[in-house]
Amino acid sequence: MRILRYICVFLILILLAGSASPVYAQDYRFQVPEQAVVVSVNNDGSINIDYTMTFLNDSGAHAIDIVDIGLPNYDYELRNITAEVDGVKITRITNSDVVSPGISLYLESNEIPAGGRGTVHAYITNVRTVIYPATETETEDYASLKFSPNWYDRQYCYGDTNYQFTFLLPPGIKDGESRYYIPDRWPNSEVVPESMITAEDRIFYTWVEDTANTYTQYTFGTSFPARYLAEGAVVQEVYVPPSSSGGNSTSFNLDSLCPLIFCFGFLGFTALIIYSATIGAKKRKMAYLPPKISMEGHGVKRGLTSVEAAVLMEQPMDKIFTMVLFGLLKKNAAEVVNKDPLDIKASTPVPPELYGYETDFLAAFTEKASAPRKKLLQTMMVNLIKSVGEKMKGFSRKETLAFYEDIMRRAWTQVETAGTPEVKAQVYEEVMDWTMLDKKYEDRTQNVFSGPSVIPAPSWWWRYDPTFMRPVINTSTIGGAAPPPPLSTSGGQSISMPTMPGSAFAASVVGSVSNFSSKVMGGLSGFTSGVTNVTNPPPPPSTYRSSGGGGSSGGRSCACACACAGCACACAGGGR
Amino acid sequence: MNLLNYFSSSKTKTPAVEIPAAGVYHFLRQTEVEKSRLHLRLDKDGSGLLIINANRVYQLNPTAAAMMFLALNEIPSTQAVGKLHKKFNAPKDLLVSDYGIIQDQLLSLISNESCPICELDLETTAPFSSRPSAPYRMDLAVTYRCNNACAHCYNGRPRNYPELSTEEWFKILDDLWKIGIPHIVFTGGEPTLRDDLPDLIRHAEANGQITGINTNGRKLKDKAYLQKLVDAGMDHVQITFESHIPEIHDQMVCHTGAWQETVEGLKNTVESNLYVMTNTTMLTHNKATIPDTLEFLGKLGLKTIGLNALIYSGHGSTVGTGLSESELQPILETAQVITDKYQQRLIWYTPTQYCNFDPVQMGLGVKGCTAALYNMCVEPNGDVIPCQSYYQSLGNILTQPWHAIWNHELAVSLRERHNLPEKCNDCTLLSECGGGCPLAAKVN
Repeated sequence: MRILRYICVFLILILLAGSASPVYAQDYRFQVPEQAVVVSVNNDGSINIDYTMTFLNDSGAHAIDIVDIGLPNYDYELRNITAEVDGVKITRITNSDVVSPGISLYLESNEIPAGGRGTVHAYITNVRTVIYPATETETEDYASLKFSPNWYDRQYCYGDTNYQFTFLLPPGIKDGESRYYIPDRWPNSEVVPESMITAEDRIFYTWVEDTANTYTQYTFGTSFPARYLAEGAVVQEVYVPPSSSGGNSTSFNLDSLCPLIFCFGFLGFTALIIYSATIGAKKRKMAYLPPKISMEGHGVKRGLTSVEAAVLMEQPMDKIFTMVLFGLLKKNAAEVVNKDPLDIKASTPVPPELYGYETDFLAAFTEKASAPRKKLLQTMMVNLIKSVGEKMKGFSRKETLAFYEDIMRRAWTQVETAGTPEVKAQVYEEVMDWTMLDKKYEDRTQNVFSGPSVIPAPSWWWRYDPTFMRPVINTSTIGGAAPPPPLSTSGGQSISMPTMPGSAFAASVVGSVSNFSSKVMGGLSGFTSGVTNVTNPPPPPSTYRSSGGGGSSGGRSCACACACAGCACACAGGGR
Repeated sequence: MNLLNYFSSSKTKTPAVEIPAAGVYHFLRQTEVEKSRLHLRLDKDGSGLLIINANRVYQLNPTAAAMMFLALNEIPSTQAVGKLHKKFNAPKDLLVSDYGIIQDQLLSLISNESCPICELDLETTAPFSSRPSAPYRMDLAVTYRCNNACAHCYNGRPRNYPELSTEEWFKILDDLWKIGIPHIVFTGGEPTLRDDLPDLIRHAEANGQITGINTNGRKLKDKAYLQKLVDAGMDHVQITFESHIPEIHDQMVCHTGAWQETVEGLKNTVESNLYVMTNTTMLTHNKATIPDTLEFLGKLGLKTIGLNALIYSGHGSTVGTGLSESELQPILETAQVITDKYQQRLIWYTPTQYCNFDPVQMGLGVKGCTAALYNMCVEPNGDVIPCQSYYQSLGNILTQPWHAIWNHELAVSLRERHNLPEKCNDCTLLSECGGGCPLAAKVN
């Protein structure tokens, strides 16, 4: 006999009799790469069933010559069935003698040969006695329908199926009135079916799954207000198939009972419906996660200096200037010649590896008049902010901020956990540029160096405080008071650093910021607005941009935009 | 009873106010000063992609995807929240707040005034980590015929390769739209040699797809022909231009007089309202002329310049005029200076091994192979290949289901970068670099 017939018989025996079926026609072997099933509910309570099944027959397997399709009951008529294979009408359609109720489609000269591929389409209209009352509690009477599409024996059928199953409900049902039930055995039962209202004012539910198959029995269900059906369309009693043969029916036997039970829900299965409705009600709404938009790009922008990180963190500009100043002093690139009013001079020669903003800073202080110097410092800050903006293109600001905040935290940890005031001072000198990123930098600095302890001054401190003595370079040990520990040695020499009270050091460091603000910038707010008017100007009128191909703004491509899409068209048209 | 008919009819005949099913949806945002085309691709799991002007792609989780659909349809918050409340298990005040955020973000993303990552604080994922259900862009090599004969051309097929009919291309365009591909680039060969190119463009545009062509520009010297393409709705043009010196250009494309026609085409295109860019392949023949070539293009008014290295496919695999990756940097540094001067956008195309040439360090953006991931190509006979230059069929789009093509062993291998050189395994730049161009790796 034919493969698709045997399959259904086999399943009936397995499911109802609980026994194994002998294997017939072992040379049948096929896949169903695609299957689409649409069940449309008509106003009169009948349904139309639309199957589109693509078969991929194995090479060396038996040709697929007859396709049997099980039907929910005998309340159908053969004249209401049309079918095609690969677009060619199937002329011989009969009641199946192996699937009851069911039909046989004879492919005849269009059979799907070994190694071949073919698409069978069957359209079965006006199948009646299939809509039953729903038992779910609703504010009005609901009608329900459950449906299991054809499935095949796994022994003969294998592989994934791009599977679509659709319920198309009667016209007029309003959004929110219809229900669907979690499909039984569907690979991804959590997935909400696609649903929309068609131009014909009909709601549909569609389940789509690439990894479904046609050797598993899936059961789909839906319900909707019964008032959308004609009076009497909802079956109030279990359908009992005819007991005698004739017409398009066969006798009532186990074979015929199978599709009835497994293809449609009815009163005898209210428990299942209630279960599904209960679970379904919980799952009908999707779990809510905050909306998230993401894009491909870089994460953390590493390699920023502490000054650049401060710009990113939008630290006050007086603090940023102080950081620049300390950086230059530490590099031996400058020296404060007067603290009030602040004046600095560049070292000669200037160390070669200065950052652009450091060079600009030094250049500003070559201008002795206050107003032009302020202007140069504003320009320096504008350039610095723009430079950071350029560097950050394509990188995550959020992740980068977190990265540098972590560096700042670790810097403080190193300082605060240092064992002695001397070591604290030494560590602080090494990491102070990062500790300055802390908004509580002043308080923490004073806390760290509170108390009566005396600490060695940083090796560059004399360049910051003109009144402070320069460190003494020792070439041999001299008697007398014990010097502070040597901070560095080079070529057999050690540098003895002057000491100072820790609290005085802290106060001086903290005071440096406000000193810069009042003595150089002429007030923070006015200076800052002079910068932000340039870096964050009011939006200019837009220019017309045409669509397509990647925008038309000048300048280099932003890394984030180029990581992914149209302009990531690596090789799009190049090379010829 | 075709399900797809339900989708399309619903999209076109009823107000698109219900949060829809999977599919791709096209939106036009146009003001007096600005025009943007947006595509929202919704996947089966509810997640989505927002693609702006076919070149900026944002991933949306299911909540953001649903909200974005409503925002794109300009549904007021009061209505949108009702729809969202039916779909999501969330209090309405939270939905109001979050919907407002999405509306604001949409405006910012469309305006393109801000870097979305560093200024809008969007979350970032690693480059090339997305696994879409279909590419964002499909190149249609509608013919392999060409009126040039570049010695370095990557084309690996005969010029008389079988070609599909107009109707078959229409079907392909429709199928590509159904699987969610919003961006079509007609290429070849020389796509302008197909008489039906305006029809194909018009058909794609009617679907909602953004269209462009990659051309040698010679036929665009005919203003009337260019106008036909514009009238059909074409959005962008990429013109191959090898040198400002006619003899070098003509020598490279092996056609005397080609330069003159290409330059006329360039001028005509610049005068149009099209988005136009050039592309120049940097080879031993023309590398010395590239600075002056860029100056020439700057003076012509080109806003976007593309550069790439030799593609090791077709003639390109044997021509022997390619530059080593380590030779690229000084040329591109010069290119950056010149394009900055003319306020042009510089696009670098070629995936390289970052250990030899790192485009990120140069500020050129992340460049890696996106074949069978973000772009693919359909050959003149309907065969789908991983990219325009990788001539190994993954299946024919007219006869084989999309998922079989998309999940072809080679496509998966390229997407998942299965065949990387051993030295790449421990490299920290691997996610961005991806081992460079697989074709170059084969040859070298």
